Amino acid sequence: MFLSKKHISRRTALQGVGATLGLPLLEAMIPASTAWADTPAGKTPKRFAFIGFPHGAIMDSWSPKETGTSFTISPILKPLEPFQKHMTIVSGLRNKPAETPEPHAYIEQGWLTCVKPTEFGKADPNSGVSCDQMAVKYVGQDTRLPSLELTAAQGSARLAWRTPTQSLPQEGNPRAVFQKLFGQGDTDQERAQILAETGSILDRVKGQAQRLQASLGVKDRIVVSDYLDSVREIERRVKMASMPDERALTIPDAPIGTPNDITEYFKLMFDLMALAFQADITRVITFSMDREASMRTYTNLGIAEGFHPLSHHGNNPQKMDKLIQIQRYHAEVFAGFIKKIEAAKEGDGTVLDHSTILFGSDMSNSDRHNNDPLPSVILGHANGKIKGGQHLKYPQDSRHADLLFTLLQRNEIPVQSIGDSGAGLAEV
Amino acid sequence: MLKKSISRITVIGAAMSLAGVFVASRPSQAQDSADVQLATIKQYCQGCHNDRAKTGGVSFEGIISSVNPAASIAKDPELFEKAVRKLRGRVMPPPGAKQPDGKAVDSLVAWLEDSLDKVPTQAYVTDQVVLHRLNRQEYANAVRDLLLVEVNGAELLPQDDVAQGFDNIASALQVSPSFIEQYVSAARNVAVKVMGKGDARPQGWTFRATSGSQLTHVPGLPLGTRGGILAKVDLPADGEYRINIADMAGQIWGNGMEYENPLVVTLDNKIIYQEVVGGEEDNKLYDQVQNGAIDKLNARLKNIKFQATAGPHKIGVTFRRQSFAESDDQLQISTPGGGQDRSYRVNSFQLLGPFDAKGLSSTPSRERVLICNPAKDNKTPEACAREIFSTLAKRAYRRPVTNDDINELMQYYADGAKQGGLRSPGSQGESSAAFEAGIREGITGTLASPFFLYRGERVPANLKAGEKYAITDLELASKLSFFLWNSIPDDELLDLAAKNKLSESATLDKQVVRMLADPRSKTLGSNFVFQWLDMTRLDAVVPDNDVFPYASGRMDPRNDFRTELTLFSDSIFREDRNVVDLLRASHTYLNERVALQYGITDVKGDQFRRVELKDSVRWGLMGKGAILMAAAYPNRTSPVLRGKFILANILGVPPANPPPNVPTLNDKDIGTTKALTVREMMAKHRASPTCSSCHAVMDPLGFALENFDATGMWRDKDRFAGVVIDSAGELPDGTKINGPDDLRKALLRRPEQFVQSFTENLLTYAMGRTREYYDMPTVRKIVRDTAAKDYKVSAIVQAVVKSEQFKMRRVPPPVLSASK
Repeated sequence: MFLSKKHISRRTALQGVGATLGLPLLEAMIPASTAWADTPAGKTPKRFAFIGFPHGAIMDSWSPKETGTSFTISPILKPLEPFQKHMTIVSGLRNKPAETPEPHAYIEQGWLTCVKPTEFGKADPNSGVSCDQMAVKYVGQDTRLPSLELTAAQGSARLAWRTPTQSLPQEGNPRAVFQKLFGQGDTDQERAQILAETGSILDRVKGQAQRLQASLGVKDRIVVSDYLDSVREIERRVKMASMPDERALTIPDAPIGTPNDITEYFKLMFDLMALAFQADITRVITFSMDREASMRTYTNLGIAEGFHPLSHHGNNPQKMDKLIQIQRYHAEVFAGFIKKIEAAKEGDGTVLDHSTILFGSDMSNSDRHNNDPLPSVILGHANGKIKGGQHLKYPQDSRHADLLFTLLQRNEIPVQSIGDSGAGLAEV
Repeated sequence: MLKKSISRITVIGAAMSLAGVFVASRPSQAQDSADVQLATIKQYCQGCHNDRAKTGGVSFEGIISSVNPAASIAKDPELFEKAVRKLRGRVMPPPGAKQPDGKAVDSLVAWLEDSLDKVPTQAYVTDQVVLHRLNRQEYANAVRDLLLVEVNGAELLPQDDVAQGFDNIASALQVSPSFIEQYVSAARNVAVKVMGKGDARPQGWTFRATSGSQLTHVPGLPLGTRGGILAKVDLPADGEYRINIADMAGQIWGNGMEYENPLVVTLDNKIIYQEVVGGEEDNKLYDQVQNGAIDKLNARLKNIKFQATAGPHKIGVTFRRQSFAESDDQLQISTPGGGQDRSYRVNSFQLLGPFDAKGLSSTPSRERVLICNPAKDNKTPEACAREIFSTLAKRAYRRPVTNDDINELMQYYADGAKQGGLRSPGSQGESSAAFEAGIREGITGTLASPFFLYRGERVPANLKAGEKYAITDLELASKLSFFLWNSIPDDELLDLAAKNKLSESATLDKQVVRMLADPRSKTLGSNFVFQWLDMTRLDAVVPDNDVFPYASGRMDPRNDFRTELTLFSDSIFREDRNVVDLLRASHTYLNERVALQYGITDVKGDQFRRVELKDSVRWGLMGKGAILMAAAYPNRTSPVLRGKFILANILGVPPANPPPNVPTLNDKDIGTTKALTVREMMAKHRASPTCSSCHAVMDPLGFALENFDATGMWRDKDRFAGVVIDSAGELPDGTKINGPDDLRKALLRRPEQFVQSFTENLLTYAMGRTREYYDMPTVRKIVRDTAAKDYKVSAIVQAVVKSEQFKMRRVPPPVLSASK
């Protein structure tokens, strides 16, 4: 139902989604009239992606031995070697607030908030808002979707917190993601019609909601107010999508659904993310590659044990080796995403140049459920504000929150702090 | 040596007994005076919970020194409900601390509960948020009952958040912009499904084979077929459709090409296409001609054209069943029902269409909606639309409709009719196209309306803050139907409610009985039971193919296990039996696959049927594959998970979470010289006193089920360790149990503990809000009151719907905290 703001060439579409699905695309790629020049997309965008995998990493195989600018890439990060100059590996950080006796439920919620989940909203009304959503407040207005929350896990994930009490649902069905990006409707004409229809539905729904509200008690009325806020937000998006755009736009065919093959699934999700960045549909993406305590079996790697039991490796070298394989595999599918956005030219550079991408885990040693030191690597240059090409190792008890804070700072997001953050990390 | 270490652990376990759960005597019969209870608290609790240390923010000094202990309890019921649960679960006093004996704990629990039940409070009559958004399951069911279309809520709508294990809790059903967006899209999709679209453009659907054997009959496909895929689809228009079947010839050696696999494509059980894959000619082509052979073979499975009408259809792509005798592969069988590796499978197919759409035939949904036809009934299109929307909106909004409602829907009608007329201007079909599009738009509007998506309970204007009032009969009708049917009320409920008769006690009882007997109540057996027993876990336990070749991949029994659990639970509900029968009933529902897993050989075919179980180890929930598997790992059993499941889900006394930074089983000690049994591994684990405190309680429960492997199959031996399974254990009260029968009998010695856990969960599900400490007196009362009625399902449900929790509300204070 929505139009995007930027031209996607047929080639992009084929590489992006079509190739994965092997579907006939050409019929679906009908140009729409869209404008580019005066949209905020004309300015150099600030983009964020926070990509998390559960169950930590085998740290000896994650962190390179050497620090500084000339380091040998580590076994797990090996698939990212081609992007070494765009990469900042940040070692030694601890996420102390997320340390808890209920590891899986809480650690995940603490990864991007650096606040103990039971303390959300207590120290100040914004504590517990995750750093991706802090960024959304400043960079989310200019794009049709303020942010995109995704998961490739079975079951829900809770990384993104819009408020201390509202976590944003993370979508796992690529078809739904696609429709979120490009909307319903087979043709331009149908899309325009659906857009108009949506406008009238929202208009009437507002009136009905106000009638419903009138008969309710105070607390229930707030629920309706939240509903109305959400309706207005969708109205805003409809209006934005209806704005004329002079550049031609082609939209590829929608994926059918969730592929059974895990590699295909990851590729599709990452391709959609790359497309969302390239088309400037959103500038903030949060993605859980799997869920906490996942029982997924990576049979594609010949690993038949569930991921979670395996993650309690008990220092058994065989189990650790399997974990390294899984972690390297995660890095490998992630590298596909980086490759795409590095190839996408935009303004004075590439989409990767303008992006700040955190790839890491909320846990360190999965066998002990600890948060110290976390595996984190940054890809991208935040429009030249992040040097890249180095491995930084911080002393014991340096804070993970400082890294998140720094990532926002480098993008001129004026937040005061995140969780227990201090002054930030000058070296990044 | 090993034996010795276990018995030592059992002794420790006995000291910290779970007697409250397992001792047969009712605690209330052996109640001591308040002084004795206070002495117990003083001796065992006050050491940490005093005014100075205030461990965990709790001090019991107040009650100990109080002259009126009942008043102390009344002052802080939340604290004492927490204490009761901790005591029942034997988590306090903590391990290592001096422990009271079991009798003293029972007596203290009974005294505290009695005191708590007497605390006057109205807190359980909520002033909290009860405005419910339809969750996606409710949405799908409502659409089915309203419009006769099947939709998959999981595909249309975002995932709902879960609170206390349930997905229908008002406070967790938030909205965000993406919810609104998806609900609007869903409304549009459903409206197209209902009305069809005479001028629809081609679109694509992909259907994949589900797990289960491709060598036996797939339920729903014609008899005489084997394997394949059954697709249920709503076609948007009459016209030509095409099917592309996924490649079958693709393997490098052309495996199986020598055998004929007669493939058939069926539309509503009639053959529309047949083709043989494999056989002499194909084999030659593949083996001798080679070049292009793969393409040639696969091309025969593409672009299969057929004509179909709009509406729901069943499309099958399958094989004619034939004797396996022509292949000698049966000899290599390694998995039950397996071995026919050279028989071809259909992995997926794609349906495309309609090409050249030719309008619309009648469908059940259209007949349901189009109760007025302008031409036939000789009315104006607008008059017909009004009639149609009046009926639709009454059911969808679950109340008598107002003029405002109809006028709004008529605006949708006008928009749609204008668009529809534009598309075929001047043509013969113009007015009918306009009418169609108008009605379709009205359906979209109905489904997008907050009156459909939300069910609220209004606050009467004339009451003061804090006052109680009963919800209206119309609100009651919705609350009942979403509780028992997970869907909208039917006309009978709405009509009774409109006459204000539904809330009359006798009528309500009668309606509960009627609703429980109705097939729609099967959502209790599927939805409620599955959430209460946390069966989402089963989705994640994908059996390990290396360990369980007979129960993984195509032989994965989980789907059939789910069906068994649904049918079994449903039979208890719909036959209105004692809920304790869930733990002990001797019947179940089996098909060949599940029967095989249970070692039963005389159940044949894929159809589920009721079976009396001769082997009592399978009786009740704890003998069911779904549960045994959900509380296991993909590659091994876990007495801990099973023990925890019994404590948390069956008995309602969840054990404490493990402390942080506990090292797991150290594999260094394991496996290098010999494979250990799970019991031996656990014994090592329990050697640590921190671990043994809870595990000594949990593990014996789980060990009693150790003869069931991780896929729920019976075993006498641990295959890897090569030793006979030892399922013996000792419960905290000293009872020796050995195997599932003993475990079941132990659980049945205090049926009220199970009934309490059941009732607590049922009440939560019914209220649609989180349960709190102040609900516990009601839970206990329902359990006490229904004991005389043999804990019959209807008796418990009737008590739940008559509780103040269910049918009363309280006026909230006028000004809310500053947040909004």
